[in-house]
Amino acid sequence: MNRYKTCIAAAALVALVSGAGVANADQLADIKAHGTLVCGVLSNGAPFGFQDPDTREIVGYDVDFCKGVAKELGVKAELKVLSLDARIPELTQGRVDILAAVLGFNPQRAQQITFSDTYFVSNQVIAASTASSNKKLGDLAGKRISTIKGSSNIPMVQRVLPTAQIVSYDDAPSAFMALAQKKVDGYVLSESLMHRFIDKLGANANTITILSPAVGREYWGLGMRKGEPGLADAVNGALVKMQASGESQQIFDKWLGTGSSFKMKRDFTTAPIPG
Amino acid sequence: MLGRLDFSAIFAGPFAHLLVSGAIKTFELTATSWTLAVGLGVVLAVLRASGFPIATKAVAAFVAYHQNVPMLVQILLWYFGVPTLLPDAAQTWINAHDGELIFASIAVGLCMSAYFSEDLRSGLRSVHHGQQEAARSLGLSFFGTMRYVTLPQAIRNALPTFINHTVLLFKNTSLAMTIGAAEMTYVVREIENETFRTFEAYAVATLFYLAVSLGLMGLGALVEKRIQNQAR
Repeated sequence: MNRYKTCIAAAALVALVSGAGVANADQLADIKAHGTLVCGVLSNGAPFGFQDPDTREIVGYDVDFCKGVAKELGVKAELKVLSLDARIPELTQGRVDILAAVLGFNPQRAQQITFSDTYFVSNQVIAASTASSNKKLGDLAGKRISTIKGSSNIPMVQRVLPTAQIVSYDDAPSAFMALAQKKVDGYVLSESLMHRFIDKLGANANTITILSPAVGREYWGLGMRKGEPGLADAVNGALVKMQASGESQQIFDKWLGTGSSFKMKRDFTTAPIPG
Repeated sequence: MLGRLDFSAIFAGPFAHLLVSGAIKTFELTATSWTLAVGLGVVLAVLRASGFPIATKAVAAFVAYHQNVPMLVQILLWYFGVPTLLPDAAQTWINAHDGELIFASIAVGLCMSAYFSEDLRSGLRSVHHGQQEAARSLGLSFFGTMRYVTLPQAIRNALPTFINHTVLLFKNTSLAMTIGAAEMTYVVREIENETFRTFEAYAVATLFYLAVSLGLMGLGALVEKRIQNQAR
């Protein structure tokens, strides 16, 4: 008798496990049924996702895009704060529906998750000391350039300036400090972060200059689980509508453009990520 | 499982050259900081043994600071902190002459000199006081006594811990990666970042450190055997 019970329990377990995969076959339908789009965002990545010191709410460029997409889908956005390192596992394990978390495209990531069309393009730039003889990108050939260990802009520098010597540090502040103390001739970083570092110098902000042209471009997309074409189409459709209505431009101007301390120009439009 | 490992990717193309340059940088760091540490360590130990109250207190303070502050903090302080106190011309000169190597060597060297001086101090204390008194009564000066009687025996007695600390110094040069000195660990991490061959990359580093450490210990055992006190 006992043996039969075990058999039945095992069969039930098998049915449960195999059935679990079927239950959320179409994520878009699930999202619409629940009425919420769960967005994974960062809380320490100003101006993309951070806590507003006054309202204690998570706000930013990424957050506004999440809310914009949710509105187009006709659901409510629910924010979930993730850590930078854990954001992709949190998505693949189904704890969030979509990532709006400073997610740059690269082929390794594209094997794990689906990227939406670009909602931001991050220019990777090199900054140099204003007083030095380095006035444009080409002047840095053969010079020392600081980076963050494992950063995606290292191959970009190696492509554009093959003779430059890369000196990599553990984190962004150390690499910036190396430039400020003239231990290196240049520092490569995303344009928005570079502006923040230079701003922090206060009265000495004019001692560091960003050189043109940019070293390379990193395309950011919203991240979704693989095998959900319905959701991907809906999200891309929402992004295209936001672009057409001018909402994308407004979000950019608010956080990074004329309305912010960054004073950056939007030099991209929403389009499929080249790659 | 082992079939999935691919060591050829680690040694392919520019990586082999990179590994060699990393090993060379590690040896350079070890040599410069060891020379500084041993030289200064002997001076500190002799100063402390001299018995002058100011010298003894100063050495004790130096040792306490260097043994009780993490070496990583000391390296960061030397690399990012100290230069801000230097004149611009000195900063420019250092930056142009491999500042990473210079500051890492100073930081590791000073820190380990504290350990070496303590090794030597315990060696000195193990030499019977009667020998020093005998040497002084035979007309040798303080430094003469040190040079010909006490230090040779002290060094012999201190050798085992001295070798341990030499190995420790060699391993601690890996901390210089945080300030961008392209030594072995820095290079291996870079290769890991580019190939995603995590196990293979760190296995190469592990074998390198293990081989050199065991080599140093073997060398130490050899020296120990040659100069060991003979039973009289």
